[in-house]
Amino acid sequence: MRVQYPACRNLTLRLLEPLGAPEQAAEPATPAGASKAAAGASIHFENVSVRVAGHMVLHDVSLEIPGGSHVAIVGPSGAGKSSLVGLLLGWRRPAAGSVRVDDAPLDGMASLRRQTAWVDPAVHLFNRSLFENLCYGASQSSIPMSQAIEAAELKSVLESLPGGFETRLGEGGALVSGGEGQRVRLARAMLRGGVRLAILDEPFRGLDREQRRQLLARVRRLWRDATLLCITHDIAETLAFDRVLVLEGGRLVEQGEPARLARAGGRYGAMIEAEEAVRTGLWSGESWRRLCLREGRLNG
Amino acid sequence: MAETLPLWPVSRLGDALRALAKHGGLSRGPGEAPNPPEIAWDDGSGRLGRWIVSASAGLNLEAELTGIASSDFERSLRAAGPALIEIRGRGFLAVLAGGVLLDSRSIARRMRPEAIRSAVFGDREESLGADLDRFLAESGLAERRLPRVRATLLGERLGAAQAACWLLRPSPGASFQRQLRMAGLPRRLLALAGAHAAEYALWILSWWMVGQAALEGRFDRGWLLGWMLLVLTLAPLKVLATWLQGTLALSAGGLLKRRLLFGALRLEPDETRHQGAGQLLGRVIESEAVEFLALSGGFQALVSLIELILATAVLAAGAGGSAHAMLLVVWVGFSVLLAARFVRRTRLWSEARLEMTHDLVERLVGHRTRLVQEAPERWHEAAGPTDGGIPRGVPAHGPRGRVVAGARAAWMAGGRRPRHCAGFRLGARGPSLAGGLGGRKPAGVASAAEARRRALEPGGRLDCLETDGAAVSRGGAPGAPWLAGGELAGRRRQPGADPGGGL
Repeated sequence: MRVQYPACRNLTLRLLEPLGAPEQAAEPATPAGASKAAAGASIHFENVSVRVAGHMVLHDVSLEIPGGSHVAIVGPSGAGKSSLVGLLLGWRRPAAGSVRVDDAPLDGMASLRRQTAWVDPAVHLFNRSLFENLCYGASQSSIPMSQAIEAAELKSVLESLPGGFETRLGEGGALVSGGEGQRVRLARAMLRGGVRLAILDEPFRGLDREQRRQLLARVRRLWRDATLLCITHDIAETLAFDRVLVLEGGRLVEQGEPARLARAGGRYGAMIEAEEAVRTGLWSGESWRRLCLREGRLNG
Repeated sequence: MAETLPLWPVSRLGDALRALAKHGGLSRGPGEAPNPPEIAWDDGSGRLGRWIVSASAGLNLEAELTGIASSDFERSLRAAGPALIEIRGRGFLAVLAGGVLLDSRSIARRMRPEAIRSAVFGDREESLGADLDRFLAESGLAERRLPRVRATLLGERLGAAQAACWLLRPSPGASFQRQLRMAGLPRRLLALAGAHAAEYALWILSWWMVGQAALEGRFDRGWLLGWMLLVLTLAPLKVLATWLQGTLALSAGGLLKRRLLFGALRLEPDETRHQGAGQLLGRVIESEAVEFLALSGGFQALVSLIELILATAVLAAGAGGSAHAMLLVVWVGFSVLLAARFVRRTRLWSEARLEMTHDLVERLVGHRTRLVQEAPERWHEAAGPTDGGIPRGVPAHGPRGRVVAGARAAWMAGGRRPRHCAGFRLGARGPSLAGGLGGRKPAGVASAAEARRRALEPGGRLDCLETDGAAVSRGGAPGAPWLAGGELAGRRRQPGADPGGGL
């Protein structure tokens, strides 16, 4: 008995651990169709700082995003872009300052999440059929399935899958390529209804430049009334946005209309120039041998 | 007269491997092991070792290079076979179990281990011996003590010297029965059965003596001493049986783990991609259960069999005679039927457990996605109590299941569980495990039930598809297409239509 007591005690304490989880306040479900016509969510960050594992990842960020605006977020890797949108998804809580959505403090996450479309390579694809993956979390969709398939360029994927809609995608979408998986994530987000906030974090990773451009244009058309935050490394594509935020080292260093920022020659302008230099000077260089792989065939 | 060592030259190493495989019981069929090309002894590249490993693989064997120390040579030689021991510059010794050597005509020869040892380490002994003799000559020791001192010093200085030895054993992918045989498990199992049978027979005999003495009024010193002797004899037999059981469990467990690891490494990459971490984790958990149940259940079955045979004999010799013995046989037959039924049902539980583990792990991995994309009121939909929270076709589900479970409860109930029933605990363990799991993870069980329901029912997937389809394009009339494009078309099912229709 003496020998077994510590083991039993530890086991019991471990089993009871989840009971200590913070309780979530009940939030009323948004009435069906009520939010459909509503405009995008307005977001207000006031002196927000975020600390992760002792490190400050966002410093004193103040920001006003009007409802329905489309905002691009750019900056080097580790600048705090994902942490910024992570506040709206509920992954992070401000260490200082406050976040307000529609002039209300962002306390309970459920109602905002219901109205949020999230596209990110981190969105999990379940080891279920393609259909179940597409329909995951979908309700009150504003577009039919066929349109989502078309818009996300999934038709060719669907035709190539041996079981069509019933094909299992493997855990984390292991049975489809990275680009295909990303398009499934996009179609899933497109099928969500009543979207007031769209968060796209490197949404088209694994796709070619032209595809990225077209898909971005489509999602901006689809969510034209919603507030759209897009984290991207395609700096040139952000010129078409209403507004650009430039983050660096966890600080908001520039923000404003992209054309004006580009002309001003600050960080944003330097990023555009650097991207252009890479494209023309490096990738277009003669030193590269170009191979084209299309539908599993290599053309030299 | 000095014995000649039966050496195999390097040019005939392939023959040596084949002979060892055949006479060592490692391989039945003729394998592919050609003799090696010209390989120099001391080229330092390890080519010879690599050749032995690859030639062994051609015979479906595994060769592991190890060293045999001079200080422990005799014992290692007995335990090493089948093996090849290298005598540098001269050739190889083919060693069978028990240290018996196989000569180049494939005839087994027994030699003194000391002679083999001096042949293997002869070169080093000679070089060390010359120095040692000079040292001893100057030491001034008495003549009669010199040989003993020389042997001791030589042994100490040679102690660290090692001879290269390739241990041969069946490849982990070889027949499992052959691996068991090679590990000597059937022999040890027989010994265990013998020890247990003897122990049990002595135990019955001791009670017979006590009963006889009491009933006939002959409780004298002689009978008492006889009874005491019998009881005392039980102790070493019990120790022997326990020791045999322990070594048997270790060896069999090791082989089983090796086999499982081999199987895990040979899984098709596509299969593992399909399964994901959840099902693989489930397999790991299952493998532990397999080992536990196979070993403990196997021992218990063996012990029970012995006890049942003796119990039948005792009943037949008792007051009831053959009628009582027949009753026992009938009861055992009934128990076997129940056990077989439990085994079948347990298989269903195992599949459900695998699904549960997969589902749980995937939910954990996709937790963030679930939080953001799935409405809170649907979080526990799949994990809700479906079908009573128990997967279909498992024990204790339905009247027949309850009868079986009840019979098992009655069977297992009582202050002292009949030992002859122990063997069937393997089958009876199913519902116990299932009950435990059901209590700990009702949500997971229900989730697995849902997964099984979807998998088992032909229309299950289509039902789900149509429900979700309706949610996707709400407002469309039944029968209206919810997807049309190219050669793909989906249609919402008409109420009451054939569930097999859909996509």
